Parts: sequence; structure tokens; C-alpha cells
Amino acid sequence: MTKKNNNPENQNDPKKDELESKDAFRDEAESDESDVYNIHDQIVSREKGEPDEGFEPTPWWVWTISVLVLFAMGFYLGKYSGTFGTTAHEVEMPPRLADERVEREVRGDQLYAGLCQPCHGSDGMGAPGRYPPLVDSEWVIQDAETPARIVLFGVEGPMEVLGETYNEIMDPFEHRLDDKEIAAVVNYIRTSWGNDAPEIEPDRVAEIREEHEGRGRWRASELQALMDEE
Amino acid sequence: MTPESKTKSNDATERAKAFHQSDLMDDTELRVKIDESLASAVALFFATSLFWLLLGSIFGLIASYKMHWPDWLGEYAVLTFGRIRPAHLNTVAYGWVSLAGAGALLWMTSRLTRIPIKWGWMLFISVLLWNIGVAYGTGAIIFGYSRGMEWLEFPRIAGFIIALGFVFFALPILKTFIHRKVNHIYVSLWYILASVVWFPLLYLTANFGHYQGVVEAGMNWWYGHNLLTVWVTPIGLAMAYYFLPKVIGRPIYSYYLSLLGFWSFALFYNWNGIHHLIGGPLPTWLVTVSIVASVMMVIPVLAVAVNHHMTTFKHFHMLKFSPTLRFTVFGAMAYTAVSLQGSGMALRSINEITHFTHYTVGHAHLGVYAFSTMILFGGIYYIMPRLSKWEWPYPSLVKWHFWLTAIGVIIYVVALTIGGWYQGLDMNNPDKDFMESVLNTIPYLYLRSLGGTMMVVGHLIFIYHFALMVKRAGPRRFAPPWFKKPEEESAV
Repeated sequence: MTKKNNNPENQNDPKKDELESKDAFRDEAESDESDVYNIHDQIVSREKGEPDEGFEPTPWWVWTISVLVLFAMGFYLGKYSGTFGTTAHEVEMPPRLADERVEREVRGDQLYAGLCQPCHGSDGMGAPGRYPPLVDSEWVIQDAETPARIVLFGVEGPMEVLGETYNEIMDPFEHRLDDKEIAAVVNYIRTSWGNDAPEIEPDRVAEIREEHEGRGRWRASELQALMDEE
Repeated sequence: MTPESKTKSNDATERAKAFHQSDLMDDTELRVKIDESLASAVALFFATSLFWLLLGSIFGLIASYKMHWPDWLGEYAVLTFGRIRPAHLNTVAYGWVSLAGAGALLWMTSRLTRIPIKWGWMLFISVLLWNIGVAYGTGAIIFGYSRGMEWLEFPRIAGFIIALGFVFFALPILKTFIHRKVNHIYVSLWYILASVVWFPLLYLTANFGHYQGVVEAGMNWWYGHNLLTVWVTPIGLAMAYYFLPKVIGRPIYSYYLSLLGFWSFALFYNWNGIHHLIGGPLPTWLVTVSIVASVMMVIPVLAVAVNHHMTTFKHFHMLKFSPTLRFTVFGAMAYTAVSLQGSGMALRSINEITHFTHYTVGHAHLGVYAFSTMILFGGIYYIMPRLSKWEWPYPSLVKWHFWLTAIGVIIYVVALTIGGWYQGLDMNNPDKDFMESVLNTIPYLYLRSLGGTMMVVGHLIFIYHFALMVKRAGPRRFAPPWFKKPEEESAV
């Protein structure tokens, strides 16, 4: 291993000098050249030879596994080739739908924030002179059916709320929300911002929906009449 | 071992000797000439690659922290996740792995052809252009001019500059190969030549063709995966094939396995890209063919794994002292792991769970870090002393570098593999809220940041050590940076 170390020939070899000038790392101020070559010779001469190859036979199980994989994937290719057409269809991955029995959580506050808040406000106070408040409103808290009717079919024309008259149009939600969602948003309105009224069941919403199916927006007087009836 | 098999393997050794008779000219003088012919150029490739490694891994770390601290640094447009993350990918892929890999391929080519590099002056142009390309491309991403396709974020101009840089890297390799002084072409050279020919075809097709719509998506992933096929993996395999027998001092186990490994690799690997688009609007057969080819990768991987394992077998004690061997064996094992994992992930039934989750990110780092980067580290530890004519000054720093990066990447990959799997199950479960699948990943994301931090600290140590060596600072040593003193003097 040390056969090249301190070999005087190296330092006198003219070829060495030529090579030396190409040395990017030469730094005469810091190191003695002979030491540098000393180290380098040591580095390259302790190396093992350049690698080459042995000729051991391929283990039988490598071939076996290779052939098995070829067969298996040939089968796979045949099975999922999609007749080699141009259409994309992933037959074996049908979309998995939710189990019918599992109900998605319906949250009244989220529905309110998305659908009602733009007019009635995040505090349920509406907009003075334009959109009526929901807080303490007789239309909201007196009975649960009235707000459900309003949300289902909308309302238009003059309407007196807490002593002030409003004249706006509210759109119906009968096609956008199902019974559960309407119950959730009505219950949210009736129990928020100081309102504290009993909740309505989705079944009751379904009855109201069926009873008035196909009608347009309510007028305040019609709602009042139904409230008086009850 | 039965007497019969002993005779058999002796025969094989005899045959190997006869086969290589004319190639046995490993004299020190020649090595000195070869090393000096490319010392400056290869050292430049390595030094600049380390700059991109540092920058790229800091980008990666910022992106990782943002996954659990989403508001951190969010107020600066240039530091938002959408820019930092592609900047990380591109700097480590085109800066670190490519430049360091190019340097290692050059050195191995020259050593394996037994002649000093030809047209060495071109390499300085190559390293300059390459760095300009990566710098320009990374700047473009950071300032919002990304092309918006994964792995192809660099603007076309940056791609053109890099391609030009590659030409000036490939020509010396080809020229050197033509003038080779060996009869037998060693397996590492097969991979080197293949990648030198394949990479320009791939890169030019992807960067300068005109594609739209579904075809563009198909091209995008054909390119994305083939960058690993024709560039990252051949670099890693060529280095593993070189350094395992070189350090151990024993021929690679079987020429036949090398053949099987290389040609099945060439046949199957380039079809793999479309498995990234399972469920996408591509013809079913196209996706299926890609899945089939991905699973067929079992064959080359098995061949390479057996070949490497049997070469190292009975020499595992050398891992105790040789840094190069330890890094390389770590990388070679990671190659087997990542490839078999990848074959599995291509199957539709597994892909529908793992796709679009952190699992894929873990897989990517098992490949490009645990395999490719660790082997590159090992190679640089071996090559640099021969270029700089200076031993690594502090063996303890090598030890720190190994353990920080090795444990870091293991934490990283294990955390994301487990977390990503559960994330995928949660996302496929229609009864679970989407947010639940996101929130459940948070502990794993913290672990990812921990692993990432360890890796970056390891990089800082390595770069500091590299700088000391180039400046010839630190204590002058006369032995390799062994982890511990071996009984027989050899290795590194």
C-alpha cells in the first residue's frame, strides 16, 4: 500500500509538473507540494482495482418470479384493456356512495350563513327599513310552522314586523333545501340571538310542504290567517 | 456450501479472470492522470450541486413547516406554498441530483474507460450553462412565472439552457467512451451511456413539443416519471454498481443478473408515467399498460437487488468503517424498497387509497433522497479526496452527516407512509368529513418537519466539511474518514 509513498521519482517526473499545473486545488502558500502528492498517491494506491463482473448463474427463483410476474400482468392487461378503445372507463372503480342509513350532519348555522345572512344579517337584526329582523319577531317565535312556511315558499308584499312595515320579496327554498335542512335552519333562527322557541321536526316540515305544494310566495295576510287558525 | 457449488463458483471466477485479462491495468499512475484530467470540472459540478442542495432543502423545509403552520411566511408572495414547493422540487432535481450526478458519471466514465477525459474543456461550459438554467428557472418559479406543470415548471428558456448544458456534458462522455481502453464495458457504463442518450430525447420532447388538454397531462407524467427512468435512477444504479465492488474489492456477483437487470429496466421503466393518471380521462388500455409495466419493474429491481446483495454479502462488516459503502448500501436498499413500493402503488386498488395523499410524497423521498441522494453522498465521499488530493478532515462530521440524514429520512418516510395511508382511507370514506382527513395528518406532518430538519442539519454539516476540504483547512490526515479503524487498510 505504501509503495508510492515518498517515491523520489514522482517529484522529478516532468510529466508530473505538467499535470500539476492543471491542479485546481494547488495552494503553494499553504501546503508543500510533495506532501500533496504524498497524500494523493496514498489515496489512489490504497484503492481496490476498477470493478468488474463475476459470472455466477442467475438464481432459479429470480427467473421463476420473473415468469410469474409476466403471466400475472399479461392476465391483468387482458382483463383491463378496455377493448383497446379510445374511451376512458375505469370499470373496476365504481364510485362509492354513502351508505343510505348514514345521515350527513346538517348544520343550521352553516345554512343560515350561506343563505339567510346576506339579508337578515349575522346578528339576525336584518337591515333597518329594508329587511325585517328575526330576533324577537312574532313571525319567527310565535309558532314553528310560520317560519317553516316562509322558508319553504317565500313571502312578498307589505309585512309588519315589531311595529315596522317592510315591503320586500323573499325567495322560496322549497327546491333548494330538503326537510331536514329547512328544519335545521328554522331551529337555528328560533334558538339564536336570544330567541328561545321550541324546535320543529323534519316530519312536520314535510307535512307543510305537502299541504301547500306548488303555491307561490305567501302574503303576510295569508300567514296571519293560518296563525290565527291555530 | 456443498463441494459441488464451490467448484462451480471457482469456475465462474476463472472465467471472469480470463474475460478481463486485458482490462487489468489498474496502475496508480493512470488513476492520477484520470483524476487530474477532470479534477476542477467535477469538483465544480459537486460544489455547485451542493449550493442547490442547500437552497432546495431549505425550500423543502419551509414548505414542510407551512403544512402545519399554514400562515407562516404567507404574507410574502414569493414565499407562498405554491411557489416554494415547486422551487424545492426543481432545485433538488435539476440542481442537486443532476449536477452531482453528472459529476459522478463523468468521473466513473473516465475511470471505467481507463483514459483521462476527452474534451474536458466542454465541462466548464456545461456546468456554467446548467447553473444559469437552474438559477433562471428557480427565479422564474419564485417570482410567479412557473409553467404550472409538475417537473416542468421551468420556463422553456431555462429548459433550453439546461439542455445545452447537457450537450456539453454528454459529448465528452461519448468522446471518452469512443476512445476507451477496455474490451469489456462494465455495467455502470451501460447505465451512463443509456442515460446520456435517453435524457436529451426526453427533455427536448417534453420541453419543446406543443401539447394541449389531455395529451398535455399524458405528456407531463410521461416526462415526470421518465426523468427518474432515464436520469435519476441510472445515476444511482451506475454509482451503486461502481462503488459496491470498488470499495469491497470483489467483482459484482453476476454478469447475467446485470444483463437481465439492465435490459428489463430499459424495456419496462419508460412506460410507467401514466400510472400517475389512474382514473383520469385517458384510454383505459393506456393506463393499464402503464400499470402492467410498473409491476414488471419487479424483474429489474429483483435482478439488481440480488446482484448488489450477493456482492455485499459476507462483507457487511465493512459497513462499520467505510462511509462510502454505508451510504451506498443504504441507498441500494432504499432502491429495492422504493421500487417494490412503487410497483404496488401503481395497482388501481392501492392507488385509489394512496394517490393525492402524503403517502406519495413519502414514496418520492424514499426514491430521490434515501436512494439517489444517499448514494450521491457516498460517491462524493469517495471521489472528492481524489480530486482535491486532500483527505476529509473530520471523520466525526461524516458520522454526524450519515446519522442525521439516515434517521431524518427514515422518520420522514415512515411518518408520511403511515399518515398518508390513513389520510387516503379517510378521504375515500364518504361518511367522514373532508376536514377530518386533513386534521388527522397533522401529527405526521410535524414528524415530517422533524425528519426534514435533521436532513437539512446534515446537509449543513456536509457542506461545511466539503468547504473545509476544498480550502484544505482543518487537520491534515493521511487516512480515509473511517467510522472506526478497520482491521485491514482499504476502502473509502
